[in-house]
Amino acid sequence: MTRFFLALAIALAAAAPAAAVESGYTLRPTELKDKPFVDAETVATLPEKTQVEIVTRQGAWMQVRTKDAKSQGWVRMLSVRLGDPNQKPGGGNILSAIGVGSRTRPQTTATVTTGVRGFSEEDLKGAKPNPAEVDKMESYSADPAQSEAFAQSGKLAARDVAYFDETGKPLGKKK
Amino acid sequence: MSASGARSALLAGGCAILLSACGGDFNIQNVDIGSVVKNVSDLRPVQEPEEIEIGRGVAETLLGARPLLDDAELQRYVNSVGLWVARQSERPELPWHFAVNDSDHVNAFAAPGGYIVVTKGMMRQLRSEAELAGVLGHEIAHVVQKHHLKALRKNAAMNLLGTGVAAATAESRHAELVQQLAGPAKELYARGLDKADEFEADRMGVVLSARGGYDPYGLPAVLQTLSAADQKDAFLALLFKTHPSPEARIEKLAIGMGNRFDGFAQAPQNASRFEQATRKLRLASQ
Repeated sequence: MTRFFLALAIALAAAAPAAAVESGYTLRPTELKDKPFVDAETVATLPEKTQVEIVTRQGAWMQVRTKDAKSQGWVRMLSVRLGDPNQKPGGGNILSAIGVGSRTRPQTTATVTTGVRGFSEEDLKGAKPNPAEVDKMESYSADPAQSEAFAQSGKLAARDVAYFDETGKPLGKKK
Repeated sequence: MSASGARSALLAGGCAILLSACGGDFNIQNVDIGSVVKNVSDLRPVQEPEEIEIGRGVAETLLGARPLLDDAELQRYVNSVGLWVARQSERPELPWHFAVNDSDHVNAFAAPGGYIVVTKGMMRQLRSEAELAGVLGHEIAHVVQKHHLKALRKNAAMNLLGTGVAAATAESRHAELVQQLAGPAKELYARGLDKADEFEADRMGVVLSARGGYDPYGLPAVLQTLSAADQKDAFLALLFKTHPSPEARIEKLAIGMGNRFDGFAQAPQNASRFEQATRKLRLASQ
């Protein structure tokens, strides 16, 4: 029995997609910090279009390793663009190229492959109302007590945060 | 037609929504049509029960395009995340419903009254629960701000809703409402909202996920994923047609967020819980 589960686990592990390494490049000259803080020590200044491999993300920060493996550290997440700086935009399936889509995504081309489960404009326009599916959707709803327990088990603590306008100015006193 | 004439015609549509939304307890015979018309001419906003019925009607059309994904565990998980984030909004008591549909396209939709649908294709692009919370936060913001409801009401086709009132039962009234909503809803969801509504939903979505205790950079991370995609990708065509470019959205969020969210660096992303909940999705795609 144990052997069976072991075999199953191995089979599942083999079936699981290899964790693809995500890559990207700096959009502008960017300070590489040794920790994910504004006032952390600057390890290096990466010139624009420095190619990096993405190790992880944390808040506003992204841990990266330069492609030449010379340096590793943290950069502002929004200073990085995913993908390859030398690839022309629109040239191929970039979601796969960055490692995200390649995990799970069906092959895509400009024309949708047959057998694909679409939600294109045409699919939308041809839709017939399906009340039974909405009944089913409603049957999965959570209630507030469950949602509290779910948050707690995920170590999520609610906090007060004000909305902000397009300039970043906090809005009103909502919650 | 004069501007005010056009307005009252539009409002008559709104009045019809009220009648069809009142369900079983409502007896059309007892209605003083005169007073209804008078109330309507006071620019009465759509009441919450009507909004929910409209949203249900829109959801019937959205799920008519693609049904739910057959994965009860995932459906419950998305409802747990979604309700937790929605409870942080200004409309915590709405009957919020979330679903993953069985579509390979990458997209997410909100309908009035708290109906939110995310595609399987979108779920596959996400790395963590914080990213999911960001996507759901954006859709929740559309509901909180009634973006789709306002857009539907602006659409003159809503006048047609008037004819639904005559139907005999609550059920047949609802069916007729759905029938009449289908055209304007399809048109709206194929055309998209105003760009300003999308940018606002991005800013609010970030805040809602942060209020829920998540790493607030989930939504920007999703937009980064989208910005690296092929702009001609058929699986993204509808999303790209109906939204500002991901680059523009990231740029606006970067300005709006500034350094304000730097204090949230330790907030959870819950990537392992997300991976657990989406494991069937990933196995199924082999």
